[in-house]
Amino acid sequence: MRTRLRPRAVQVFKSSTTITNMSGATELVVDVETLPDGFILRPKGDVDMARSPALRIKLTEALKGKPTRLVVDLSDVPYMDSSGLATLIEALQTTRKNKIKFIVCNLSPRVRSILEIARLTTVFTVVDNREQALKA
Amino acid sequence: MNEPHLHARILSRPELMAPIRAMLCELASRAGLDEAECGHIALSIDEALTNIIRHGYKNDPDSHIWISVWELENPTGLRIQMDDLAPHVELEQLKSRDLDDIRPGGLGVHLIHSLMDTVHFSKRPEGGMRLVVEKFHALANANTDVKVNNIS
Repeated sequence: MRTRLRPRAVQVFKSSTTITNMSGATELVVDVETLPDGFILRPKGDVDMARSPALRIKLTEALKGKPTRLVVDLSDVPYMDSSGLATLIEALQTTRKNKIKFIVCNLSPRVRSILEIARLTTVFTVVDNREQALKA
Repeated sequence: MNEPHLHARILSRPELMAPIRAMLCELASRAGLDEAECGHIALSIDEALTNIIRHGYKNDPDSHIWISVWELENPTGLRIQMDDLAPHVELEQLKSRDLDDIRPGGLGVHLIHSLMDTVHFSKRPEGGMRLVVEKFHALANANTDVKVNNIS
């Protein structure tokens, strides 16, 4: 028996259809873990011009708590540009002013290379993992 | 110069940077560049876009940026041209800050120069700025003449 196929409905955009601003880029998620002496921030995703403001907000909030240690765990950051670096430098300047230990850990090779090109590996306290960050 | 293999106009919106990076990485990979070189291209274009959006267009989200891409052969590589309609900037101003002066910002031009093999800024006679960058595959046969290839 032959099955009669129904014609596919042609999708017609209704007059109310709007063109989005393509802001569908997901917001940067930043996990915050509380330590006895401070915080570990763990951003998840690329940190570029569109997403670095979210990291800046979380860093500012953490610094308001006057911790003695602030760790940024970059294990889930595959990519960072100079906007991300600028955000970290801002935080570094605040921590220096307030005598807070600021440690960056778990850098991917790609993120480490941008720090190297910008000659920032010796400016930040960069360690391999969380354990070292908690002892630094 | 031959027709570009890709010519696109985008709006000056930061959220478009990730898809542009991905597209250029894919084109660079198809052109024969390795993963690290594709990453260098992505970061350089990201920095150039950031400069145009932030400094050229003062974060106006509805201005235009034109991106043209050519695949190169002899040596294997990619040429990328970015045009805007932002106010002219004196070319001497387009330089990196002193890297020993640790402060936020001012690293974009340094990164572009560090990561790309050729970098050329110019003022467009019709208005706006132009940046042309080239990245070559390190292991490619380094013949002197650069030819534009057909992407297949």
